[in-house]
Amino acid sequence: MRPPPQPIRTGAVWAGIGLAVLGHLMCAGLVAAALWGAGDAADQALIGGSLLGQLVLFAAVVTAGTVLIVKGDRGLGIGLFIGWAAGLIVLPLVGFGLCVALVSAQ
Amino acid sequence: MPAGTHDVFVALGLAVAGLVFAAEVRRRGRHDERLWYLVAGVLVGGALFGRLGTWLQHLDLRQNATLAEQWAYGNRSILSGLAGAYLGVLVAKRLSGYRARSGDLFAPAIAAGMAVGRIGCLLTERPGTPTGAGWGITVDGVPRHPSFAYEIAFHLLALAVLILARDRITQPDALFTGYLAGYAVFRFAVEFVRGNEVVAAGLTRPQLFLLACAPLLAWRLLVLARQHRAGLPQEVPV
Repeated sequence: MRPPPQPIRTGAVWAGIGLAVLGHLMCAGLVAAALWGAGDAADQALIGGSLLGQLVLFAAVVTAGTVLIVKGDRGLGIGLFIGWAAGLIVLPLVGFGLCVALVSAQ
Repeated sequence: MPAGTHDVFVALGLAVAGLVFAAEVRRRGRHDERLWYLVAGVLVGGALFGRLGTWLQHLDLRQNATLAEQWAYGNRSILSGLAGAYLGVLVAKRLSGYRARSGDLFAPAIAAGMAVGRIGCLLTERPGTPTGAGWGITVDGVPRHPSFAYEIAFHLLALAVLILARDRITQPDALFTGYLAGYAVFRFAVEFVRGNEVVAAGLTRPQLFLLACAPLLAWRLLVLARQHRAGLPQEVPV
């Protein structure tokens, strides 16, 4: 018989949110860093890198979040989903703007 | 305005919505850990549909952007974001086993968050169609309807009504459904001065989307009215 699930800890939810937002920021930062070396192909690198980064982040959040919700710390798993979605609404555009600014400055 | 202005207000809107939601949960004494699932459902559904909701906007599929283009450059849509958030809650309820009505917990949060988030639109987007009214915002020498200011005023008014009526209207989801219906009507009307592209029958895409959703909303209102007349229990057991 499966033991009853542990209660959802608010602190764990916030930790998950922080991790997901950090993931968004890392994606934006990595793309921005990669742009410095891209030269004339910066536009393609911007789009390709940004999309790839977000795809990897999405896969990581869905996998880790689902596993955590089903088998581990539910709060952390739910927090990952909340942070990913909130970051999706707000942060990619900020990151995109940062990258465009970097390209323009080159 | 700097490019980040819009996003700052969107972020502020999210934060305000979160605070108002938490306050409403506390006020109604609806503490339940499964509400976290619902919050995740709202945000994931809203974020995905808000970003991809305008993807299939042409009946000729060849005219639509690729998924990657839509993700990177496509328009964000509040209406499809709301629809996605609604679906997200339904999925989250199914997954978590939470059965109680939750719309009234979210309604004030949505109104408050939209009022703040739309400030970003007001400051960064083309406001509306040309107007001779004295309150027009002049862009490129042409006074235009401040359609986002109208929307901010609507959400603030709706928030006030929701707060004033929440202790009097106790039928579950009545406030939320009323708010959605009010916003749908308001948004349909304000689209005439928003300046969005007219695509068919003199209507914009958001208006057509609202017309498509109207039967669902009407059905929901009808169900609520029937429940009210029948005097059904006010709260579904969790």
